[in-house]
Amino acid sequence: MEENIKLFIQDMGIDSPEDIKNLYFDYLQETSVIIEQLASNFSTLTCSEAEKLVHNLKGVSANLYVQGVYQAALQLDDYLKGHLGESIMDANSCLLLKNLVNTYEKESKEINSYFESNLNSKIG
Amino acid sequence: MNSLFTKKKKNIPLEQTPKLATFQQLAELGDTLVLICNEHFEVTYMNSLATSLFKFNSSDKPSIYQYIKDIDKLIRRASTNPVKEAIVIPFGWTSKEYYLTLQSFENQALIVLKDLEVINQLKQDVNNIKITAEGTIKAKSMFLANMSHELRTPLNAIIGMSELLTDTSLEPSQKDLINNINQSGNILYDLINTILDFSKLEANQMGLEAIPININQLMSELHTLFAHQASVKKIDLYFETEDHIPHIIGDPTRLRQILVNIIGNAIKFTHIGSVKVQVKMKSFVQKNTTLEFTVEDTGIGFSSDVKEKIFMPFAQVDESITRQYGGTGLGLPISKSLVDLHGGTMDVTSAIGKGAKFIITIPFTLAPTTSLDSFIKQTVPNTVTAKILVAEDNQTNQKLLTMQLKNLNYDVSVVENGQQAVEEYFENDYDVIIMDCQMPIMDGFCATLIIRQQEELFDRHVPIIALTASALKEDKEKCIESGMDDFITKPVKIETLNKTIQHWLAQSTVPKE
Repeated sequence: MEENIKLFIQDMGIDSPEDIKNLYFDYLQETSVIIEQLASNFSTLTCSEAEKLVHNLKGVSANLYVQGVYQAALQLDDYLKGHLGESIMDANSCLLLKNLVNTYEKESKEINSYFESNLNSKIG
Repeated sequence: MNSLFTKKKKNIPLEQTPKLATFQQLAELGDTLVLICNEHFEVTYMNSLATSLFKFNSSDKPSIYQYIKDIDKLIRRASTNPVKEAIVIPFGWTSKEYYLTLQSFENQALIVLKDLEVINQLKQDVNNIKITAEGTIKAKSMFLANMSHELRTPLNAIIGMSELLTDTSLEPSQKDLINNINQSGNILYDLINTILDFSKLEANQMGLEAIPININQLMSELHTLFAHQASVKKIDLYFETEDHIPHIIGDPTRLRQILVNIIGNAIKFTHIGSVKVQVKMKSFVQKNTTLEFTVEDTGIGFSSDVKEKIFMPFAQVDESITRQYGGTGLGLPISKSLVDLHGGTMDVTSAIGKGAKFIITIPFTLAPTTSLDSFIKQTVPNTVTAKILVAEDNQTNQKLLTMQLKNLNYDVSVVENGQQAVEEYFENDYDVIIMDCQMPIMDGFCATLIIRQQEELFDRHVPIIALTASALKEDKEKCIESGMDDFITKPVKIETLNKTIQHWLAQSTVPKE
C-alpha cells in the first residue's frame, strides 16, 4: 500500500501532506459505508442497485490508487453488469463480494498503518 | 493684433506666392471648407465650397468674425500648435457644427472646416463595418466549431466501429475490407483535421498550449514515425539534435504538426539520397531560447521563382506535381501560419534537382524543470484561465478533482449529478465540463445529450470530457456517441487532466465575450 500511496502523490498533483491524509481518510469513511451497505443488504439488493454501489467503490479506489479494492470491485462490477436482470444471490457473486470485503479490510488497515507511521494520525 | 500671428519673413500674401496654383488645387480636393484670413482678420480666400456656402466675394474682404467668433483667441492658441476643435457656425436662424483646424503663419491664418455630420456618419459607418466583420468572424468560428463536431463525430464512429470489427472473428478477405475502411477513415480524418486547422488559422482562431516539451523526445518520436516510410523508399533519414537542448514551454501538438508537414514533404519528394533533420539552439538569453529546426533533402527541388507559391494554400509547384504526388496543398501553408503564430520564421532554399532546405526558427520560454512537482508549482500559467464544471457524485473524487484543478489555476464548480450539471450549464458559462458517466438521478450520458440539444440556443459548444473508470472500447464509444468530446480514465492523473483540458480549450473556437 505504501508504494501505491507514493504513486498517488507522484501522479495526482496533490503535494500537501494534510490534503493527502484528508483525502485518504475521506476515502475510508465513504467506502466503509459502501462496504457496509453491500455486506449487510446483499441478499435484498438487486443486481442493478449493487452494481451502482460497486461501480462507485471501483472509481474512487482507482483514483486513490487502492489497487486491491479496485481490482476486486472491478471483478464484481463486471460480473454484476453481465447479470443485471437477475437475482444477485448466486455463488459467484457471493464469492466476489467476500473477496471485495476481505480486500477492503486488509487495505484499509494498510492505509491506516501508513499514515500512523508517516503522519502520526489514524482514523478512529 | 499683429502679435497674434507668427512673425512674417516677407510681406507676401499667400495668394501671390508661386505656390498658389498648387495650394488652390489642394484646397479644392475633398469636401472641406478652406479659408484664409489676413492680419486684419479679413477673409482673403475661400475655396469653391466655402465660397458657395458663404456667398464669398474676395473684393469685399468680409471679416472672419462673421463666421467664426473668438477667432482671435483661436489664432493666439495656434501660434504654438495648430488648433483642432469643434465649433458652431451660424447660418441665419440655424447653425451647423464643423470640425476646425487652424494654423497661423506669416501674418495669415489658414482655416479648414470639416462638416461634423459627415465625420460622425463616417464613424458610424466604420462602426457598422466593424460590427458586421465581428459577426462574420463569430459566424465563421461557430461554423468551425460545428463542422469540427459534426464531421469528427460520425467519422470517429466509423473508425471506432471498424477497429472493433477487427477484433471479431473474420475471414481474411473480410479483414482486408475492414482494414481498408479503417485506413480510409483515418485518411479522411487527417484530411478533415487539415482543412479545419487551415480554416481556424485563416479565422485567427487557433490557440497554442503552453506545456513543457522534451525536444529530444519529440525528435525521437518523429524519427520513429518516418523511419519506415524512408526505409521503403530506400532513402537515408538522419535526425541530429544538438546536445543540451533544454526543455521548453510550447504546444507539442502544433510543433509536431509543423515538423511532420515539412519532413513528410521532404520524404515524399525525395527518391534517392537522404533527408536530414537537425535542431539546435540558435540563441539563449536568460529564460528564453530560440531553436532552429532544419530539414534538408536531396529531392526534386524547385526553382526560386516558385518559392512564394509553395506557401500559398491549395497551390503546388505545378499541376503535374499534384497529379504525381497528390496532396491538398495545405501542409506548407499551415506550417508557415503555425510558425508565424509562434512568432517564428520559416525560410527555404532550393534548386531544381538539388533538393530543398527548410529552416524554421521559433522562440521559446525555458521550462523550469521536468519533474512533476515543478510542473505543478511552475510560475508559467496555463494559456487560458478557464471555468470548469465538474459533475461527480462521489465526494472523495469531488475533493480530489477540485484540488487538482485549483492547483492548475482553474476556476472550479462541482455538482453531484447530471441534472444539476444541466441546470448549471443553463445558468452559467463554462469553458469545459468534466462529466462522470455514472451518477444518480441523471447520468452523464443523459446530461450530455440534453446539453448538446440545447447548444443551438446558447450558440456555443462546450467541450465535455467524460470521466470513466472503464477502459473498455464500448464504454468509450458510448461516451462519444452521447456527444462527449473526450474521456479520461480513472485514476485521473494531473498531467493527463491538464493536457486534455488544455487541448479542448485550445480547440474551442468560440470567442470569449
